[in-house]
Amino acid sequence: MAKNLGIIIQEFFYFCFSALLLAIILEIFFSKIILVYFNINYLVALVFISGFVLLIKK
Amino acid sequence: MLKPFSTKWPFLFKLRMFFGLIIITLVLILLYFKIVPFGLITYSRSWPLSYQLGQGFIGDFRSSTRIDLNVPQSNKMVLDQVYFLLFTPRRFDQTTITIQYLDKLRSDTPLIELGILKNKLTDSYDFQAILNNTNESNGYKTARATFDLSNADRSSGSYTFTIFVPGLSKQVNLGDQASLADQTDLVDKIVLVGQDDLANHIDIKNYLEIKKITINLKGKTLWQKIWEL
Repeated sequence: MAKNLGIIIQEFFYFCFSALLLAIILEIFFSKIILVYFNINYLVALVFISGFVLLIKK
Repeated sequence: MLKPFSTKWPFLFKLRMFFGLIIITLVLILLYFKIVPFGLITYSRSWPLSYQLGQGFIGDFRSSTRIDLNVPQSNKMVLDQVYFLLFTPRRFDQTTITIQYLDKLRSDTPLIELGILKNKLTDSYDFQAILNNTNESNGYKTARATFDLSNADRSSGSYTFTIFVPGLSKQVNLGDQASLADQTDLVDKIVLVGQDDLANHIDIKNYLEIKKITINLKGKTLWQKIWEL
């Protein structure tokens, strides 16, 4: 279970980071496509939090 | 006897597939609302504003001197005229705008007009008077206007709407020094120079409180656009 938890945290970090990159790329091509629904800063915060948790876990 | 194929997939693969599917689904939903393939969509905003994660499609009222400055993101229009922006992800041909409002206007300023910016350089608007408003039981009124968007200005992806109440003005209560007459210019100057003591003496007796704005948009479908190519 502990091993799986480590994998889940790592994959969650990858998920958040790839979602952030994709959101930035989409915003560059289609202005405000995401910002009207969702503030990307929340995603940045999530990337930082999951990244720190991953670092501590490793 | 035969285990399903999926049970043999490693945990990591299943997890990646799960997160990947979430991302693909979100991107597809976003692209759907960007393209609006059926050409029909509705955007609305209510006041007081409930918590929202993003910027929203309908912006705040401008300019700041013409709304009640004591309330953040105010919906109280105290001077004519106020503007708001509607962001749309694509162009549309026609819009029907419905506003729900509380009418606290003087009897000599009964006219309410809705407008849409046609040309930014010449500052020309297409105005429509709201006459056939419907009274609701809670004191609010509902009014509707339809505009042609084919020639409307859409700078930075936003249409500019305006609400115009001719003659609406703030009143300044300065005792004997000034009367309670129409003193729009004076109030504007007081607010602009930031004289708080004087600004506190502004009586807001007549205003238009917007409760909800609903904007229905109609445009070409994706198939019509492809057909035109």
